[in-house]
Amino acid sequence: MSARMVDLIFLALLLSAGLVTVFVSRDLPPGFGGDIGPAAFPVALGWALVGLSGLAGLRTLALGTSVKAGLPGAGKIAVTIMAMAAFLLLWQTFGRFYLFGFGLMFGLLLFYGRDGGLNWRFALWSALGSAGFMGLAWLFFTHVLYVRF
Amino acid sequence: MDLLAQIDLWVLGTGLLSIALGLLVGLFFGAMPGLGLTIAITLLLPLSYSMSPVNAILMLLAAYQAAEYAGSISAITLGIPGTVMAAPILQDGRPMARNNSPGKALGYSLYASVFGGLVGAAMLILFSQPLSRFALTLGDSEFFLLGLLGLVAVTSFEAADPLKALISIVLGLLVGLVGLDIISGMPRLDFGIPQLFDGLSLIALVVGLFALSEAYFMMAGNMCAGHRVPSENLRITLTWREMRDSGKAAITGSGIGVAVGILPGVGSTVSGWLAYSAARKLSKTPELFGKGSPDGIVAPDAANNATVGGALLPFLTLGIPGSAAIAIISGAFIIHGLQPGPLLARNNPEFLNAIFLGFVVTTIGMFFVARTLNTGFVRLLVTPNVVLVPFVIMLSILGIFTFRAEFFDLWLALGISMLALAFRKLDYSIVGFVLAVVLAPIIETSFRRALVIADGDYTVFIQRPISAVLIAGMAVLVVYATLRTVRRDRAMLNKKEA
Repeated sequence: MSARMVDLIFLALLLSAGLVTVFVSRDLPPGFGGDIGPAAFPVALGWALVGLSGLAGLRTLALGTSVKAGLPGAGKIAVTIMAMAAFLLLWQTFGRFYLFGFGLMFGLLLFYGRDGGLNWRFALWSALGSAGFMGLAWLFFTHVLYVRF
Repeated sequence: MDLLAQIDLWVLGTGLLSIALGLLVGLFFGAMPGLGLTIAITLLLPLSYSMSPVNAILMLLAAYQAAEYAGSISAITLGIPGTVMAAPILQDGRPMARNNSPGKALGYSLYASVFGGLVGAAMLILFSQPLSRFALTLGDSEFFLLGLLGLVAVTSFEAADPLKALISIVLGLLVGLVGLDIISGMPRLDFGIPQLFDGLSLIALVVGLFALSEAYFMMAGNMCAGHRVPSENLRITLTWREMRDSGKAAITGSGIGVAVGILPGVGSTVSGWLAYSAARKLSKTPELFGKGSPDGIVAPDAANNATVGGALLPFLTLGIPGSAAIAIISGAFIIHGLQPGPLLARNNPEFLNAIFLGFVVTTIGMFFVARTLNTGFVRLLVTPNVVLVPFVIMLSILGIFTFRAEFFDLWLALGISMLALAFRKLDYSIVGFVLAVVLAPIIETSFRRALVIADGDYTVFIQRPISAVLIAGMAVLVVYATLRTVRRDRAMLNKKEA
């Protein structure tokens, strides 16, 4: 996909966000006694977002290049976001933060470690490092900050 | 003896420990290329919940000061600035490290940072009372215009693309309006989600915007590749005479740093470069700049740290955060129920005095901690991203959940981090967005209150001389930003045609 297309898609999302803001703010009561009311700012800003996104879109159409859009490390980013989402889902459903947290850290270390060629030594250090970090986190948050995860 | 009897050893001890922790974290995160000061402050913020207000703020300020200096460590030893603000130091720090010794360059950098930090602290202490008194004479219309001026300044100076910066600011203002309207008590833009009644969690927002999005950017390339750092001549050795010879550059840099720091929205990125070019113009040996000139290190480094004190001045006295880092620190004020602004000096004078004293101690402490642990921090630069990224991700999760134990905040941070990724990739302004979120309640409330007091008369915003000055300042900045946009677009058009 070209950089221009990515830019236009994002601007379309922003424009939609502006329209949604205007739409959901329409039922707020009007102000009185000199007050402009709670709807005035969101509505004005919503329209401003629509206008500015439209303007930026026109500019992108006129000036944007057809260079291919790229994000270095996109695969790793996507996997990381999915891993974090899975971790949050598991933690929210089953609890056991420290267990799943260890799994997330260890998994990410192994996944990123592929860049340098995985070996048993790296895997062992990753497991020990993750366990050590989570252990320290447990000690600090449970016994110093009194936060239970 | 009375004075000694009043000193609470426990308070003193915990205060010093908080400063030490902030300094260590700031030095580490500032030195690591890619991490930087906003992440240092962001990740320390959750820790501040359990501390006293003074200790919490001092820890964050210590991290801010230390990270401003530490960006130079990697700039000098690796040739990669640890923070954006350290980029000007690269010009002469790297050649000096290569031709003379890294320790010498680090010495100039540290002494200048401490000098700049102390000048910033002095300005803060000297001018906060008069400015607070002046701020008490300002009305709602002026506060509205001051908030607006800060956002216009971000659009003009900070952003690569002023139009996209403006979009970021409008979006940030909208995000800042989420939750109950202070004046009418009506919930707005909450989509029926109870967690949004009190607005979006600032912690989740800044962690998603700065820490998680930065972690994504650190995934590019080979994550196991570590940096090669020099192993010799790392000890800081600077003679009194060498320090004295760079005095003029240090004073120039500090002056520029304080002045730029006071301007809302203009951070040390600008002050460092301004100080560098000013020092070059004033130098007797401008031909040495770019080849390892001590003044080329001293001026921007002094400016960077003087900016911290300068940026605190409008925040503590007017309640207007001048930089993204201060906007994040404002989160700690909110957590501890403190309202920065003109009433802070009147209602919490002890708090403010403790902050001033602690700020000086922080700057001096930075000198000793950095001088002692300098070699260790340089060696830490070998840590590859494969280790740093999971560490940052897990600290982010721990920090967000500690704030109010809401899973919603974690999902929000994950979503915001993706938005930040798009923002950074497509040249939108994250700094503008964060400042707008923090300033939105100030801007809206001041605007509406001014109108209520004036019974709906809009001329209230232009009646007083100070309003006229602020509007004129904004007009100048708008013209500047428009010219920048036109020039940028013309260059893009020419490039496209070519």
